[in-house]
Amino acid sequence: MATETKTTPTEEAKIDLFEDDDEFEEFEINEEWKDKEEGKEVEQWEDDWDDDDVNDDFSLQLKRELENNSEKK
Amino acid sequence: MAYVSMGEAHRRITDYLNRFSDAVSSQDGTSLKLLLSLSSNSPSLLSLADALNVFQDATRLVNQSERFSQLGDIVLPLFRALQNYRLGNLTDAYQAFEKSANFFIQEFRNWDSAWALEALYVVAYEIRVLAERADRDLASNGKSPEKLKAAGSFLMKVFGVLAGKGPKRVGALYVTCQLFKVYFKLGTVHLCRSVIRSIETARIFEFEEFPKRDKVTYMYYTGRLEVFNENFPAADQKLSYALKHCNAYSEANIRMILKYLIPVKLSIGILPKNWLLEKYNLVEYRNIVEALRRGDLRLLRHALQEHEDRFLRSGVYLVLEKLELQVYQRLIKKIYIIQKQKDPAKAHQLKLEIIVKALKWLEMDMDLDEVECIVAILIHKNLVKGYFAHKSKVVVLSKQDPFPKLNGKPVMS
Repeated sequence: MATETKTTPTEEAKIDLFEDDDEFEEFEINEEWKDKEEGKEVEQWEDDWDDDDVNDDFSLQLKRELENNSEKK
Repeated sequence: MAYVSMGEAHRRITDYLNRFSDAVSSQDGTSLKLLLSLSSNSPSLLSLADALNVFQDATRLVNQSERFSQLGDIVLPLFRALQNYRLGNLTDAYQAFEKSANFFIQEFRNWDSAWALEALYVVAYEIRVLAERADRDLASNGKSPEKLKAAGSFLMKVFGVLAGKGPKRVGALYVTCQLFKVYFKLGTVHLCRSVIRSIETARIFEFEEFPKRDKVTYMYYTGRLEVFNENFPAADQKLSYALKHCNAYSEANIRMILKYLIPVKLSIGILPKNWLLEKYNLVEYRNIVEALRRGDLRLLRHALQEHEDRFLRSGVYLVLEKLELQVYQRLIKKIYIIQKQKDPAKAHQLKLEIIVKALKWLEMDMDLDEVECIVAILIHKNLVKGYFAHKSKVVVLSKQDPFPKLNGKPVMS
């Protein structure tokens, strides 16, 4: 078996430079492959979120802030 | 290291040579590839390595048989590679394997039909993986790591062998993806350009003919490059392709695609659903999405700070930071709607000092001039439609669609 050599902290850091955290995993040649079923896709993305609703907590707090300050005048 | 008798060692070596020779003469790529997978640590290869380390005279064994000696150029360095690998001499293992691989591709060139492609894939993979291990070994001994770079050069040579008119050309995309992995690891991603150009412009290649798994991998890496270059529509197209066609069982790969696709989608005004973030454990984006949804600049800043290291490592930090303008748009839009509820007639004349107050609440201390500057930028980038009435420090918003949606396009640069 290949023996692991001990590394000091600075050497670890150097090795660290030669890393890609997001290296794609190899697909095996005959690996069991599942396609996403057409039409059965649950929505993954929203593009209609930018509405005019200001009843959420943040908007209500914002409203209070703006009203408070103008009253202080 | 297990004890092996000379007789047993001889038997194992001869057995391997027979299998190798049979695989070549019967054009059996599936059998051949198993004989080349050094890093797989298969029991049969490990026991062969033990046998070689005991026997020590494989050269004579190979050369005294006419059948085996034909394969000698490939097999003898391969044996040395295996022995070295077993003993933990990773640099010598790489060196010997590269020599064997060189002779292998010369033979491969001469074999007609694409029967040996699977074996070639294994050779390409092993070259990369053995080089990575050799470099880790070199670095940990204070020496300069240079084997992965050499592996890159070798893989370019393999690419050249496959870039022809025959059926072997479908293997070119697999080799391309191995090259991507090498270049990304080395941080020399600019070198991807020439092989991308070959794949995308050479007439011999028809992209749809390549195997699905290679197309998915290819789109993932080229999509990431588009993110680095801030070409968001192209990044969206490629990463979405990878996502759509990726093996649904491959959750780790799906997660990686989403890691880069989400910042792209955010840049074109599209939000990921919460279940997506939960399912693939991408919770580092949750507050960023929420900040956009709310118009909460404080939350955005907090979210960027909290996961700064992670975003910097993956290279998406700047993309996310630039979402700030979209968050400003959302905030000012909310202020406008709130004002409109109070006084519909005057709402489109938005006093800058109200924006200052909102920002102060969000722990952002800005004076009127700074806010005017931000609003000017928003107008310039078509995130706000309106003009300034300077003396009264007011932005007069357009009565029609004062906060234009991005509609799938990135903010104007």
